[in-house]
Amino acid sequence: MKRNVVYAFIMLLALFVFDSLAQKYPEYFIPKNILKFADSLYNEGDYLRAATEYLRYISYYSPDKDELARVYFRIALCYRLGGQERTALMYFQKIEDFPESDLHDQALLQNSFSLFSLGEYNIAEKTLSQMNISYDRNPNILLKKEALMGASLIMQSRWMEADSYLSSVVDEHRDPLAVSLRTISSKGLTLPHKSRFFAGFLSAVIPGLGKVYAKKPLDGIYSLLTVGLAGWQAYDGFHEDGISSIKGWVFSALGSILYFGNIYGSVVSVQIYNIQIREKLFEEVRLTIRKNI
Amino acid sequence: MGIAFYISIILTIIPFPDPVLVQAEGFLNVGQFEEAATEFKRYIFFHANSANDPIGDVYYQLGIALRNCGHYEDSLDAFDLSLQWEDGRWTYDDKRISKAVCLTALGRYSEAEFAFLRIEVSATSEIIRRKPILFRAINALYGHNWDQAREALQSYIDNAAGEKDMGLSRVIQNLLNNMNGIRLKSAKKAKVFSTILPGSGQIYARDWKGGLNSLFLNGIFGFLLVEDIISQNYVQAALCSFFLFKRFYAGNRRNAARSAEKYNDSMYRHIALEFFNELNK
Repeated sequence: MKRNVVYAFIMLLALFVFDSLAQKYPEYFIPKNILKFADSLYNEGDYLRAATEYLRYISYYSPDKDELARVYFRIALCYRLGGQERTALMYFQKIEDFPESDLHDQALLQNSFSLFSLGEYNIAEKTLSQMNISYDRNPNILLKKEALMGASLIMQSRWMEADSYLSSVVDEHRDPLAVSLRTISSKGLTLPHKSRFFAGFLSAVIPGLGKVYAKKPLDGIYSLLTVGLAGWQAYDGFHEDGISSIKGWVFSALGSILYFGNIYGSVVSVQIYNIQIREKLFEEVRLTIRKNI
Repeated sequence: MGIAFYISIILTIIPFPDPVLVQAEGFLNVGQFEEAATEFKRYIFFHANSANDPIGDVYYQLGIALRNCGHYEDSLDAFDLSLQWEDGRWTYDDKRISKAVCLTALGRYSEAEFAFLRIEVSATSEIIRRKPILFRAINALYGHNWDQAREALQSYIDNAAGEKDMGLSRVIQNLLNNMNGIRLKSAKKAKVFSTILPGSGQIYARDWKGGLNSLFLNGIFGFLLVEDIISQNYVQAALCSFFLFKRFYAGNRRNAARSAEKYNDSMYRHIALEFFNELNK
């Protein structure tokens, strides 16, 4: 009896001690507080640290499927905003295992957007074509999906396909996002393209002409003058002193370098011209998608 | 029952360290700065509204952790917040110095210099006053300000008092002697030299290869140009000088200035490295 009283006393003492210690500090590591802390990190823009805290939350506490999908979605967003698109992709893909979640369709769309941002347009297109969303169930996501699909086709320079796809979307839903992408795809159909072989050929015949063709007339004139001048000086040297003319050989060497440099420069200029024209449209697409999805 | 009550009262009064702070400081001490920053942030999040907490010091430690992770902008914010909680204690100047070091790391040299000077002027103790002088010298070296670095180091030696300081002063004196032995190259002078004799500016900046190359190319074109003038081929001479000679000549002048800047840059790096090596010893 006496021993039981001592035990009870010790238990009570321990209870008081633990209780008083527990009251001294906040309960940092209970799931609710971990989540609060993670949300605050997310709101202040410390995304990668927030992602770690969300991961801590799901490892400390086994949330139900809906909550787990929600946290995975947040983690994916954290990685995306923290500049780690590939890791974000991994977490968006995890939500595919929760088909009954409200975020399922949204995650699939974001998954494709991650692929799009990573430049994997082909895979993004395939993923989007496998998405099965009806207009009645989720009109907003369907419209975004269609826009992203069109954008993926544009980014692969499949102008014809992109244009006909976006035309059908515009006819069906009159979505402004699809309309603006359709304008870009139409521009793509008539995109000026210059041949680098033709530019090289032109510069071989008349130095600098290839650059004029690549819309760099000043460079072209400068090339013509330098190559022409070097050639003239070489001719002058040989004409005056014959084959042993130092001046003739110096300017021949210089003229040859300038002549071949002018051909190579024209080919490169045309390549740059083509890339710049296309890239301008691509950048427009990227901006439109980033703003709207 | 009464004993248990008293024990719990005592436990509540005794200042046990906060477990999160203990963990954060542990991370900081072993060099796990990202983890340390997370724990400091957790502490701040749960204690932001309590007046009695050492929140200013926690912000300071957070600043140090973030600085060591390379998040200088965030670290600067943390130091600013830590100074807001400061109530004129001796740690105040240390915190200001940490903030100024962050400015140096961000490449904001003039702001850092101003901050170090302010600490120097307002510091209450002699020991603290010398610390920013040293950092000011490092800041000047990073900012490529040779004279300012020299002035700061000289000022440190002039203010040195203690025995430990004397050791460091000797190191700094050696460094100063080395610095005085180095002649920096003027980009303007190099350009003028190359204008008069192509390649000579590069040679002045110890870029022998570039100098000889420039001298050779400009020599050939200069010779041909003079030859054209002597032969009274004025049109040819004018065209040659405008389209060919000018191109190489202008490049030669530009490269001379660039060589001088490159030389100076390598000297600044060399001295800064030597300085850090000596400090580490």
